[in-house]
Amino acid sequence: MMDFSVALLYVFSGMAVAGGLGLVLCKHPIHGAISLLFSMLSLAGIYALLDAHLIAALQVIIYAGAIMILVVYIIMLLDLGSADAQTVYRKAGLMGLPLLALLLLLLGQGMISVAGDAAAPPLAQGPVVCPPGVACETDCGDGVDQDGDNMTDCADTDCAGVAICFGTVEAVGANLLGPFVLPFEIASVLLLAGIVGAILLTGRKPGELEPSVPPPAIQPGSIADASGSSEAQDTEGAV
Amino acid sequence: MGLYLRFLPELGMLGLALALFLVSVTIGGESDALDERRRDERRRTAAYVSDRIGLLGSVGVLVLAALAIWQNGTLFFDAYRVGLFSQLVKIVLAAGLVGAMWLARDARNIPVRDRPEFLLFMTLSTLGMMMLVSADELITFYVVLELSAYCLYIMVPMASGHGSHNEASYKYFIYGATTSAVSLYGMTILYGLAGTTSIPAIAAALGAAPSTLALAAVVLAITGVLFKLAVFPFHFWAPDVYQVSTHGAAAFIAATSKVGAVAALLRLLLVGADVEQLYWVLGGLAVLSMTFGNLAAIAQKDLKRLLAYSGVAQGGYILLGLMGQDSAGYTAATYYTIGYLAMVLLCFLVIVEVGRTLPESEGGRPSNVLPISALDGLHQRSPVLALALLVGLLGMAGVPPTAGFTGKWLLFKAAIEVEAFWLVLIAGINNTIAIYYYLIVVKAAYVHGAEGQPRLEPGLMAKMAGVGVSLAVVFLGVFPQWVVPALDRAMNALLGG
Amino acid sequence: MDSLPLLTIVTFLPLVGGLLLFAVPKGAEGAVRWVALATAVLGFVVSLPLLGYDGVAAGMQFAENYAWIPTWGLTWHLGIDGISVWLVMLTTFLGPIVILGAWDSVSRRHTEFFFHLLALQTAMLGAFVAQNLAVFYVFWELMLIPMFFLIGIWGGKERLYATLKFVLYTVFGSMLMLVAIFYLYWLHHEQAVAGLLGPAAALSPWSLEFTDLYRVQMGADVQAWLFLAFALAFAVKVPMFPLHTWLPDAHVQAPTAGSVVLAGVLLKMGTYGFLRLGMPLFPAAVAEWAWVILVLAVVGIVYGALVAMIQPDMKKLVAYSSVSHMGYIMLGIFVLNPQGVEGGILQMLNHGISTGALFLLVGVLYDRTHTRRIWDFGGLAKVMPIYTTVFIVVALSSAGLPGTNGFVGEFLTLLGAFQWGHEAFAQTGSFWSSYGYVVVAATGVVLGAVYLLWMIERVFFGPILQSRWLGLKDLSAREGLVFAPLLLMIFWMGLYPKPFIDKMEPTVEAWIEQIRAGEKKAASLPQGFGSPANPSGELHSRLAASGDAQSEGSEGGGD
Repeated sequence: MMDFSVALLYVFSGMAVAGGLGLVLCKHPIHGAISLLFSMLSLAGIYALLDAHLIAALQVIIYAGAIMILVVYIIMLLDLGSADAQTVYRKAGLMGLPLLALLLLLLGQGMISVAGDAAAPPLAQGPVVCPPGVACETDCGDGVDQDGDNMTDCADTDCAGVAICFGTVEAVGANLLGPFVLPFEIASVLLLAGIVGAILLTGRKPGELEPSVPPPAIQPGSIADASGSSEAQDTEGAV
Repeated sequence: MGLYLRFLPELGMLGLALALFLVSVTIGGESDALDERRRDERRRTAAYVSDRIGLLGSVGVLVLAALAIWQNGTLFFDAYRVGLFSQLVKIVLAAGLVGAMWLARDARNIPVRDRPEFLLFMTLSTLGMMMLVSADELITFYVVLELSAYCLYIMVPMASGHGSHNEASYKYFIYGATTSAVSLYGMTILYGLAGTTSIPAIAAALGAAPSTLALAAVVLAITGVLFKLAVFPFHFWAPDVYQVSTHGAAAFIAATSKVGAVAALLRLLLVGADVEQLYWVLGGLAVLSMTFGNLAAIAQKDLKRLLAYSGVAQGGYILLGLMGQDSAGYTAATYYTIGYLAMVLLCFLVIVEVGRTLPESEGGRPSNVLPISALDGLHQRSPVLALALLVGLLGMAGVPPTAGFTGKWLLFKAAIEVEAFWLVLIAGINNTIAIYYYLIVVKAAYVHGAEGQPRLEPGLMAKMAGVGVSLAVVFLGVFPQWVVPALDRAMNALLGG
Repeated sequence: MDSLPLLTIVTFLPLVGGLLLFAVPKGAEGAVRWVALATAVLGFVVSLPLLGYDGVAAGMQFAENYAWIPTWGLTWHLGIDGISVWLVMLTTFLGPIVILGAWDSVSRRHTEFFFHLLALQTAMLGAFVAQNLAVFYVFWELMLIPMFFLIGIWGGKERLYATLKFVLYTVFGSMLMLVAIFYLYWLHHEQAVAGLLGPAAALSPWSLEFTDLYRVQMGADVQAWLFLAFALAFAVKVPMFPLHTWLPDAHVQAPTAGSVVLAGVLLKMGTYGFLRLGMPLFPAAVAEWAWVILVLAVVGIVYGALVAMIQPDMKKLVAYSSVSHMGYIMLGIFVLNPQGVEGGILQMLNHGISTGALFLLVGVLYDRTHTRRIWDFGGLAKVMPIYTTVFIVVALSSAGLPGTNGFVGEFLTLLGAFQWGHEAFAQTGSFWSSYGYVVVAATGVVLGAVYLLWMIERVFFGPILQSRWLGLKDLSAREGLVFAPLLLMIFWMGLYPKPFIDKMEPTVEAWIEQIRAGEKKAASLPQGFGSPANPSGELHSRLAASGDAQSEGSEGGGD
């Protein structure tokens, strides 16, 4: 008999996939955006069911909230109608579908084959195992700071991987500034690159984007701003 | 200090990136208060300064990377592993960055005002690759993979017209985003199976007899890197991207980023260290890649497209070394990649120099094409460049005594040690095909006359670089014992733990 | 190896001289030619001490062995035996002649032209003296690059087609050989590790030394596959019928100097490959499949001669005569008796000298007339008597007239083939599979006389068809200097071939002995021995372990 939460998990998963399909298949951009929203919210549901409450909340606020609003704004501002829907990727779809089927088959077979084994639970249930000679928070549920580093229970990085701390703000924070501090910091570099790239590719004054307007006279004969509605060079010879 | 030393090359790269960023926002910053002449002046200053900073800074990073070569150990809660392997590759990457910076020094079709940013992206991308080599944990790996890839996505449209219908940039970006999503998917399954994101811990958890699911997960996880390497089913972007990007960016993508991709693949394959079926997957990809790349290259009229397809084939050769997942094969693959870096840089040196003589735009659109016929009579127009091209192409064709020959020798030896006889046979036949189209290019440069071709006046530095790198390719080929033992040690350390 | 590394010097001297050419200031073509000629002459002089090869002692002499990357089995190992000494001498001998012959005929890019000629010389010498398969392969491949340029830049109208065809044919063959080399490399490693090759080999299991690889044990079926790969590479180079189609194209399009080097030395690389590698490595395969080679050789002899007969182009005629002559060499080598093999080797030298000379002669005429079509000429004997005399002598030597070098080679070859037929007849009792070969091959001699004499008749005798030939100049002093040493060799080898044969005889006999022994050894091995599934012969070692003393003995005594 299925647990209620497991049943819900299946429902949310199904909704997430349906939302994704809707995004790909809907002709009208707004419909696609709504499907994406649907998918995002379902994901938030899955996170919540998995006890990752912070992530679930962030998912709703950031993705389902901020990002989706931006997407919808852009669609409205650019006034994209269904007429702009492109059909050039139909051939790609024809090629992609068998691949997708193959992938699903492989993964499905794999999933079923491991479903029987009780896979090792990802999170440690018991007390934290300390390396010899190192003080650490051995019990994460007693409200006592065992190793005296001014971080108690789940707030201590030692407890980041322990089940009772999972999904809490403390544990996420401890994880981000503990084991995952490097990706956390590098993500900021990535964001910097993203911002600069976005400004560079889109942040030109309107006149400079127009292919018909010649470059301003300020740079006579320079190589600057050879922009315009350039297609990629023809792809002759591409197999 | 020891810990900082471990992170020295990356810190250097970060510093360089920061310097370029500062140039971009201070000197290069736009201000409406300035009149147009002053603004133009400032843009030129910014471009000039950032060019110098980029070149000198990358040389500095090369020095730092060399200083940090003997570092060993982990950083950041074991998420980052520094060892001989990673440090060697960082040196190579830094050298590749120096080469690409120099080739990009007067990047065609990159607006002067965008030059600091262009170099910034090149730097950040290399930083990403450097970190990929050391990333010992999947989330770190994924983030730095994105960092290195994202910068490349932006460098391509920069040279070929902003924001408009630039097919190649879209293709590159969408394929890249898709494969990295697939990669991420594979990594999540790996996490689900092992309960950890640490690469060695996953390898231990998967064990010697992994399930179909684990195999599928590993294969999915490496697609992102295979995309960067442009191996057969993930190669679609390469020809278009090479062709439309400015020559410097194409050189960076073709040479430096390939080194990063190979090294990252070595690192990521560690998760499947005991997955034997990977032998068949990688072997199959190698065959497809070699055969497809070589056949497609024959038909090309544009030198950069030809190099792109030949790069697909070269990726196949490199996979020959990876399929056995043993230190001999990894050594061979890394050695070959180092040689390949030098050979591609040689070809792009010629492309950049010859490219200067071609019109910058065609029909109002920026043009970065380089038809093979533009090389006609190169031997008369510039014997040094012709020689550089010859060494580069013959190296890729695997003709002795270049590093290309020795590298193929090592790769074949490694493949035959894991009893992949048929693969070696197919690789041999493929090499015959490859020699054909490389010779077509050599023919243009050496056999055709220079009638009607514009004059070529490579600077002293270009000549020196051509001769120097050519000598390095030959030297590396004749005396592999100067490099291979170090690589061997590095690989043993990598595979041992 | 204690004294001067003579072979290394002989090998690299031309290349060094070739690089020196680039130091000659621009516009000084004369100086370039003189430097090139001086290099080639010096190369010949330096190689003269090699004639001190001790024929009685046989074996490898002047050996040099320096470690390069010993752990991979790569060593700089050179040496010559009674066979290769003559090929090295042939190469250095033809060097100055080729350069002198090309003195005026190059109209552009002199420096590069002579550089490529000299670089080619180095590559060919390197391949002849190599005693390590990696060194051999490197030089083997290196030969292609200068030849590609020589034909591609200075060739005729269809030069690009011809040069690409030449390179691709050769590369295809050598790639298959490379794969087979790697297989052997691996097999040696496996067997050495398993202890099959004795204690010394077990210490350095990766080896590409010829002598080490000769000892690798393989069943006849495994040998057959590897032999096929090697044989294809060499047969393309020889070239054997039906892989010869690149040769006429390459010859016709190549400049004279390229043709001379191609015919004179490069083709010998194929037959030399069979002698040095193809046959001693795979003796059992040779025993089983020699008939295929023999049939192809005989077909090549007759086919080449017949096609040569109807050629309108003098150069093409000589090119097809090469196909025919190379057939004799293959025939002689593969009958595996001293007369045949010695005849084959002599024929290699003869062909180098006579056909090289013929190409030079055709080139001389072409330089003056810019045509090579036989029917354009006639009666040239009247205007160019010296040239005619030289041409006739060389042509007759090529046709095998007694008293010239061609006779000795062809006669010995046919004698060997006859003896082989005699033995085969005793075994099989079938005429065509024994004497048949020699009978058919002998018709080639007649056909050879026919096409050469017919050409001579049409070109040199009869009426002078075109008045523009009346003012043709006879051989100049420089050209005389080119042909004098060739004529000297033609008569020396024709009248007194003893020194040549004496030096090679012990080597040839040892070589035949080695192949026979290898054949016997391979016959004692089970099928599939040495295949990927059974590299070190588990079955075999189990037999040995169970006390089979005989097989134990045969394993230990490798060579």
